[in-house]
Amino acid sequence: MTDPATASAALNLPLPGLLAAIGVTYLATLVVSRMALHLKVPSILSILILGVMLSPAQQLLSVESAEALHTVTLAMLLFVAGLNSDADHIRGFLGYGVLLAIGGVIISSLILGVLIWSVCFVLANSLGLGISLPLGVSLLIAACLGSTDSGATLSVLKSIKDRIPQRIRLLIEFESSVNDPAAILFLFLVINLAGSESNSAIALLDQLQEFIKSIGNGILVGLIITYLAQYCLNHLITSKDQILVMGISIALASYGFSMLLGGSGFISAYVTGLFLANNIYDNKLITPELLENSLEPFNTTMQVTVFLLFGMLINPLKLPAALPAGVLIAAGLMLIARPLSVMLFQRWSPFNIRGGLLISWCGLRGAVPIALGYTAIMALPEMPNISMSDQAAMTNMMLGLIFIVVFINLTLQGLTLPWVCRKLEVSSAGQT
Amino acid sequence: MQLVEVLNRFSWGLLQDWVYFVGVFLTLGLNFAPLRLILYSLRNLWISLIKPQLLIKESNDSKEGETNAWNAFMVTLGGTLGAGNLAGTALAISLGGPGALAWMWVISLIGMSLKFSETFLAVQFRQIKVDGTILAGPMQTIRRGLHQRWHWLGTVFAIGTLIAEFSSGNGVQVQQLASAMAEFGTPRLITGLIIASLTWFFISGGLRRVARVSGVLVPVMTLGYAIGMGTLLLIHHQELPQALRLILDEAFHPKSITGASLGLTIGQAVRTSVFSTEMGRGTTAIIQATSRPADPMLQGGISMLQNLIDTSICSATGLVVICSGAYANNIQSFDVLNSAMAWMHPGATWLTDLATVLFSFTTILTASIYGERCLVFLVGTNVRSTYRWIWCAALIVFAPIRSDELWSVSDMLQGLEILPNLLVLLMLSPLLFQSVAKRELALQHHQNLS
Repeated sequence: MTDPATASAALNLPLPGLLAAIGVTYLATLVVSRMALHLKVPSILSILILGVMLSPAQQLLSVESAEALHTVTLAMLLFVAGLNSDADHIRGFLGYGVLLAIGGVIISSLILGVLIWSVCFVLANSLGLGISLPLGVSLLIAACLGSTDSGATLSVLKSIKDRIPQRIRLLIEFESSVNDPAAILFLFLVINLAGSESNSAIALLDQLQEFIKSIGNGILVGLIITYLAQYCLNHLITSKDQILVMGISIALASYGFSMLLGGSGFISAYVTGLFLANNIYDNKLITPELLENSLEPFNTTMQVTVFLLFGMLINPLKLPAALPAGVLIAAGLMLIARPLSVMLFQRWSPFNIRGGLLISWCGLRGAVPIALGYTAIMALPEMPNISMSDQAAMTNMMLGLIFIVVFINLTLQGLTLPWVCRKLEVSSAGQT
Repeated sequence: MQLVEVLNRFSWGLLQDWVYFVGVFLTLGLNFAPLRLILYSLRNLWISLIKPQLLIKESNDSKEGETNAWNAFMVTLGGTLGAGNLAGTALAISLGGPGALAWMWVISLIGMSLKFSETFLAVQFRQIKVDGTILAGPMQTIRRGLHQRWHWLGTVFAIGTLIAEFSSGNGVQVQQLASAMAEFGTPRLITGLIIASLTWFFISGGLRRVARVSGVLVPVMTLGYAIGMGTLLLIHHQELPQALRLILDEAFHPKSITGASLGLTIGQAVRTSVFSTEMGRGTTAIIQATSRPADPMLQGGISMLQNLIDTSICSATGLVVICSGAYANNIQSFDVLNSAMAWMHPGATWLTDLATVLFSFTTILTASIYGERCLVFLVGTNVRSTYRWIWCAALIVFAPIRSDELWSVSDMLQGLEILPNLLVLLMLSPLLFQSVAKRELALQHHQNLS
């Protein structure tokens, strides 16, 4: 974030005034979250709207600080996602969970990518609404929208806790943790492949090598950091309140060292979280749950901040251009891409068709797509055949589309999930 | 052959990093056990030469074995010493600057954990066949240590090693050997015929006969090379302090003289180290784990000493190259070493030529055993003599050919052995860390008692 002096200058506020403003803003997020709970929509949705309402204050955020912020947030989100991927919980259908997370991301992103491309093409050429996007850019947007958000889904499911089978809940939680790295990898693959200048086989091979290397190095550096982290946790922690500091530093170190050593930092952070969660510690103070629980408040703060700030970065005046396409794409995501990607793996599913339908309606999108949207924009200049003037329009279109899709997805699915749950009556018949 | 070049770059760009990341991971996971066990292992190696029975008596593990630990170590060391220690090191220094030598030490110390772990696991999972052959190594570790769904990895490893040994252990070696002999005036085909018949004589006796010759030949040639290079360096002792300072200075600040950056220096060092010490390839374990006693700690400890000896030989070559300053003038690797030797002492190139001949010959013997064991793993024991004939025939075929392409092919094929080996090390690492810790406790207890 920008330093307080320039920020207060930009707002014409003295420092105490600025602090008061920040305090009130965060309090406001809690107020709208409470309201959201009342309306039975995910609380992150209300925070996003609050951010849009505050968008006149967006000069507080430079492009660089937005980039830094979304990197830090994604690294933390993935670290916590790793901590949450507790393989023990879904014993018996671990294979299906992984298949759903990785296969689902690939298939739904591919379908959605084609959908985005065709919707934008038809709307722009026949009705003159919005602009048409190249296929590569469409795939970029689709890749951003690949990951589901467990927080959003679970916050809605909380109100109907007794109506949804425990096993489906655990599966959804696990899937949304594992598909975060899957979506990121898919996004990087698209960026690498679509971004290669020449189409020669050698250049493509180089990109592929870069991609495999970033995964492999990420995993290995993640493992090494896990080992060091384990040592630190065992030997440096003397009281429970130090765990938050330790957790933050592990996540950031894992991201940073992996990037320095030619790996993907997000993968590394995820791997570190994953192995720390499935571990036993000599230090009696520490359990994997404690690690997860102490990071949760920090993670929530980061998410709230990101939603607020990304809401602020959206210019509401530019949204209408992307609105028609956004609505169609959101419908396509909810009604075509997601159900197809779930149903395709129904053969291996331990649940019946009703369970499968419920799982496909539980694909709420959250913080990761919005944060990834900024990563995708950063990659736009590397894409071939896009002029500078197109770039600005496309940036707006991309951010607008992602925002609208996430918005509609959260509102619609969030509101109807309890109803769908009742209709499908999975509680009694959900398991085969 | 452009395709080979491209694929080679593709696989090595990946493997290079992964080998030392896994090395770091194992070093940490083993709590630096390989570094702490250096003295213990040196002692064991010495005892295995003078009183092999004592080691077997001291150990509580199975006393079965095809050779004793000393001979097994010398066979594998003979396989390790080769072009990487001569031309490879010279090339690394001319491309990466003198600092590369310092990094090679760092990497080979880290890489000791790879050798240690491979052999440790191989001893634990070794299997005695009906005819007395002991099958061990990564392929066997995969078959007996991992779930059935991973068994194809063992097959990949065995096939990869078998083919890689034919190119890097047979073709490349005999070509080098023939080139070196050509300096003494022997036609390449004649060299091929002589080497093939010598090889046939030794490998027809199996590992036991190879072990008996290597147990004498390898230490003699290693010491001989070290003494030869040492003498040359003593003649030019006034250059040594300067050379050592260069190595340490340029380890972190590569000079513009070779146009190297820090990344390039480290990259060269990694590549040369991996190539010359064979760390991460898992082949060493195939032979070391067959020796007696079947004490994983002892055999693992001994096999990791390879890295120390191998890197010492690299350092001798490297120091000569640095003292002479030849690395700054040429890029061609063979010329670098030759001009360095000529600068050291006119006519001294015979030393490196002789070393090439001997190093290559022992590598051919060792590689044949590696390949044979992989073949036995794949199809059983009854193809053994056919394999030996083919091995010797290949020597005669490859000797007259002069090609650099075989180098690239053999480089690329090594990827097929490295990847399964690294995977099995990672997958079995929890088991490995536990059993090493347990063994180490027992060892300390034992040492306190005596």
